[in-house]
Amino acid sequence: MSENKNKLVELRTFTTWLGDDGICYTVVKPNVEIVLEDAMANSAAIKAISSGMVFPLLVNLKAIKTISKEARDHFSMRNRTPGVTAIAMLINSPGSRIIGNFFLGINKPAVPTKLFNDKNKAIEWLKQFANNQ
Amino acid sequence: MAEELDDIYKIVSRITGIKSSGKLTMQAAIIKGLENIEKKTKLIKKDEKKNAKRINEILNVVIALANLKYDKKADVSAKRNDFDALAIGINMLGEELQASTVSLKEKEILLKEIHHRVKNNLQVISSLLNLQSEKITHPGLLEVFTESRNRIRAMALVHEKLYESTDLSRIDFTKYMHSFLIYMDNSYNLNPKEVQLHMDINQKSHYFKIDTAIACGLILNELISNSCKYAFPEKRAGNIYLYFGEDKETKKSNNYILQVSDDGIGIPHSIDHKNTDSLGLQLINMLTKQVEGTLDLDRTNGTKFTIRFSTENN
Repeated sequence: MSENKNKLVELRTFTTWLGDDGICYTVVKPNVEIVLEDAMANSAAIKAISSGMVFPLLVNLKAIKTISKEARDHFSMRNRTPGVTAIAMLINSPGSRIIGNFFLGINKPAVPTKLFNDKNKAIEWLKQFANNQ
Repeated sequence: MAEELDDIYKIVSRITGIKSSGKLTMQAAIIKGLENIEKKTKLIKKDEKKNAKRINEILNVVIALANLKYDKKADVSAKRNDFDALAIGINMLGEELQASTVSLKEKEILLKEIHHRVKNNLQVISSLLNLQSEKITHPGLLEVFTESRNRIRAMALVHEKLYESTDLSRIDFTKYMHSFLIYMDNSYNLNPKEVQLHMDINQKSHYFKIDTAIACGLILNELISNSCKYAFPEKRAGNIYLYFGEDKETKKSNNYILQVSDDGIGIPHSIDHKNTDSLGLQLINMLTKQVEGTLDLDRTNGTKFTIRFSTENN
């Protein structure tokens, strides 16, 4: 896992990397419309990073524009990314707040998931699910 | 006066941010300030118009969703403001609803399929009775089979008309009656030289719900069957009259009259049409009650049955 740390994966709509703190970070690029292909690419990237290890995930949704139903369904799939133990979603724009709440209320993610406005609080919460190896 | 001017100057300076010392400069600052206020007012009004437009757009999508029309989507701009958030939420809600509910189109197709199958099944039963009756030589038993077949056919025809109709919950009873009478004419094989069927049906469309249509269809079937069977014994010549239309006496819309009469021998006075062992008359009474109607019998010149009913609650 250590060789994957801090290695950035750039996708069309996401930037993803594994931090030194054992948390995987995914940032949604500004004003993007996430579709199924993006969601699948994100899952593949996270799977590649995990290499069989487990970690919590911080998803920064602040700049998101929209997300399609197929992409939402993909993100709520069980065993989508077996390595992910919990998800913190960072929101602040009105749109990201709606998407985050909708995802929690309707799509019902398979692992513990929480919304945060504050990045530090999100990291604090995620640390309990981290496996610092 | 100078103090007052000084106060005004301070206020103007605070509002406009323009520092001035002389009277003329202060006047210029006041003008500048007013211009700024005018500009801001225009901007606010422009924003109000834009906001009203966006609210209307989002509202239209909500109305479309309420009508189970899921293809309508609210625009999401790159501004990512509260309206965009609302639009995102409504769009996602529409997508979830679409995935979890049956659309109007699908519902229509399903209903059509059901009516088609019910009609087919009833027709199969009717054909089976027909085939079975070919082996029957007993006239009484044969009559029972024919009556049953006609009753089934009367119901099947309602489903056939529903299947053909654009409105899958109601049928045009006028059209139904035309089709039904053609069938009855063939079924009883009436000889026009002996018995003639006269129809007085308004060509205007009258839409009835499925229950009312089936009840009226069965009533019609029983009344015409009775006339065909009993009114003209021993090849007696005569006429059967059929009237259907709005009941103008009540001066209410949705009130109808269904009347079947004949100039035959008439129902024997010993038969109480409201309390009888005859299955046909029992059915007529029961179905008239079902449509919350009234049944009258006039024995003056042959037999005249009049059913008055309303479709207001049916």
